[in-house]
Amino acid sequence: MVAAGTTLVDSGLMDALADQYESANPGVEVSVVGEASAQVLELGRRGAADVLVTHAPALEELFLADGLAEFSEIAITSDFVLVGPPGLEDRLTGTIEEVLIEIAAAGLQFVSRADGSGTNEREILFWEAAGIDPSGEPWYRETGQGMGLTLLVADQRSAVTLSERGSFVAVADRLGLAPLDVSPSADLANPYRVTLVVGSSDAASDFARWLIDQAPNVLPDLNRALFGEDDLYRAAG
Amino acid sequence: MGFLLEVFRDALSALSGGLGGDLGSVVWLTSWIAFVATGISVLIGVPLGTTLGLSEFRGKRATTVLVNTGMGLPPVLAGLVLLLLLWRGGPFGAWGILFTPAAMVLAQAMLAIPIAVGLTASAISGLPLAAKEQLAAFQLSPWNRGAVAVREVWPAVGGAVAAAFGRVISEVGAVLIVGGNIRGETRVLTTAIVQETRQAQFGQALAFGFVLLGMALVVNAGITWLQFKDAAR
Repeated sequence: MVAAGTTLVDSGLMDALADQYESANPGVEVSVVGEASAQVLELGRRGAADVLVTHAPALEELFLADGLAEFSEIAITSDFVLVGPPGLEDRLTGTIEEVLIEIAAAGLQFVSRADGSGTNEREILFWEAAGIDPSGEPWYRETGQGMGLTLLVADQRSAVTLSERGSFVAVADRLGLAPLDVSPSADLANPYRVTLVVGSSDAASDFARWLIDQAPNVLPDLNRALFGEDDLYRAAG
Repeated sequence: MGFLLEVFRDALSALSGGLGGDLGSVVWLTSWIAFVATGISVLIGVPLGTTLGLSEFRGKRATTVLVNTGMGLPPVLAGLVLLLLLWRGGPFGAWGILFTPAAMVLAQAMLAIPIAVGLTASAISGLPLAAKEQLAAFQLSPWNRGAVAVREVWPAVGGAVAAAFGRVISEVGAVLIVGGNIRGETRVLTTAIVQETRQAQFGQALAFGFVLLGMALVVNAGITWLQFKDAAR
């Protein structure tokens, strides 16, 4: 069984990767569960999942330090985007920290995943870098839910949220949210780590290897098919 | 066994931490949403159910089938339909109540009204024929006739109220979809249990579960007490 961050599942990429692998390996079935990265790693700890795809570097470090991985590599990279009601992209510009400071100063509605996901881990780091503690602020809302539902809440409540780009693009045409004008930066990169849990089957190992090795070959086509963009998900390295 | 004991201990310590912080706001929100939704469904459902139970008309059987189907309406479907109706740009989008408690009340009422109608109607239909004929003989307004009938079968109508409340308080699919589980705003006991479970906070989840069970127990004890008090008279 494969457990992956909800961003990859909500964007549709994880299922597409599993389909591709299954058609290349008839008879093999890949079961995908989408959970926040913290839960994905917890599933791995409890031996309930064999292959983990996560994007929460701090938590991954703990997992690896405990010697729970057979092997583990960054395989896929995408980006984080701040999205919000249309019109904001003209008002708010600058680095992500500057934009967050402006959001807090103006008291603009912000929706947080608040669920221990990789996106949430990164959001907290961005707030810290901006020198702001948003918890408890009247404009700061926490859903405790996955990326998809959090984007729906942000859309209907005219709020800003931090999203992984693929999950946003997957629903963008049905929502009224637009990406804010945040200056490009290496800080916005969103690396996904593929980890094989110790003691997993050969079949699981083969799939994890395939994800890492084949990412450069399969991602371009999947990007075009799923999102109409060439470089949304990129192979790492 | 060790695992279960550990979760149980965590739940107890979460409970003994008092009703402070999140638990307080979650319980408060759960209570008032459930009471308002139950109130609406009783105000609408009991009169409708009484009318359905007392009157004979063409299509009564078909109406009963519809009501009974409504009693089993899948909550996620109710949630989805309501989400589409309340979505900005949808027919009732201008209300701006999606992902607010108001939407959750609507969702719960939508699920509980058929229960109030169906159980009241079946209780009224169960009146002995002689009682029905007697009722018809009195020169009463339809409203008063209904009131007398409801009083006749009150314990069963009380059961309908209890069932409507049970549906409302235990429901998670619809309120998660139209409420969004926003902390301090739309997070209720059931959606909090889902979230804590997904985050592997099993003790906290179980603690919320105990509180939920406790609330159901208190409300049902109240209704049962009223049922028996009147039945003994």
